[in-house]
Amino acid sequence: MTCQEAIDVMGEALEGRLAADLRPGFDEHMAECPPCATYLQHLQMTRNALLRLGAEDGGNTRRQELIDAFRREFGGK
Amino acid sequence: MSDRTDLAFDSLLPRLRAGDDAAFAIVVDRLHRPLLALARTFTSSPALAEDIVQETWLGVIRGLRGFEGRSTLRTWIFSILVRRARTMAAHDARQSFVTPAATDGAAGSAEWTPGAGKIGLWTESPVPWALVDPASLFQSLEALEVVRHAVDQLPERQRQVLVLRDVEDVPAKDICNILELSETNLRVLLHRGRARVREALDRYLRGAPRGHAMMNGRSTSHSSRRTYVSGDKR
Repeated sequence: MTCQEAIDVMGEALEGRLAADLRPGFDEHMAECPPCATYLQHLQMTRNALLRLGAEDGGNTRRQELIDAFRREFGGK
Repeated sequence: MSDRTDLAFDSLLPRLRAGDDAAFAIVVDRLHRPLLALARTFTSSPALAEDIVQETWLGVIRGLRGFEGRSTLRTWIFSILVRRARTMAAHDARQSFVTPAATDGAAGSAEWTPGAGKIGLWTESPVPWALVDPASLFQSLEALEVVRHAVDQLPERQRQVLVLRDVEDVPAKDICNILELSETNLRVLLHRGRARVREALDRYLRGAPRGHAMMNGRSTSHSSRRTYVSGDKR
């Protein structure tokens, strides 16, 4: 696998969705190419930081308004 | 927000259709934040983003009886949001004479164009981030702020796919349906978005003062750079 080919499938590799037939070539390339291996590591850490953003809490000040609207639509059950 | 979440939501459908407000509250509580995150990619106005989400939920309430289950419940709800957001954000932009953000697509990649093989990919090799503990990156509010800012600066489409896939962990196939994208387009947009956020983190981490809490104190100068010319065959 070349660097370009490896980078093309890096997104899938990050997400754990790399096709099984590509895995050996990808792993081999990562083992022998420090720039690609570093890049993959950067992307993994970037993705983990992005996932972390999603863990932040956000309040919903209009929640009750919605539940009331739902009750009205469905006859107040 | 995984495939398992979809199964859990879809099992709530009969209860929702029967008017069970506790079931509705579960769905609202689980989806409100990701919906708001997606709405914010369509507008810079926090108030308008809130309104988009509220209108989405009202659309869900009105549409539940007619929902045929051809997509998952979550995809259906996100798709309603995208339609509402496009209409409401466009209307708002006209009202305030704000030019909508570029919708990206072909905007140049920060670091590469997927599939367009070229020789000399690593003319400048990435330098390892000298972190004592990789987890420290996610515990640093400052680093997360860098990430958030980088996401906010992305072109609209890249921002949308990144928020859905990486921040909210929505499955790729659902994102294709929600944003009406091909898998190839999704891959390219994700590649570009992640590359830009990575670049921002790279600048931040390597520009951080020596002895910064997250760094191990080793020099992160350019000494470890090397020129690498890929023997690319494509």
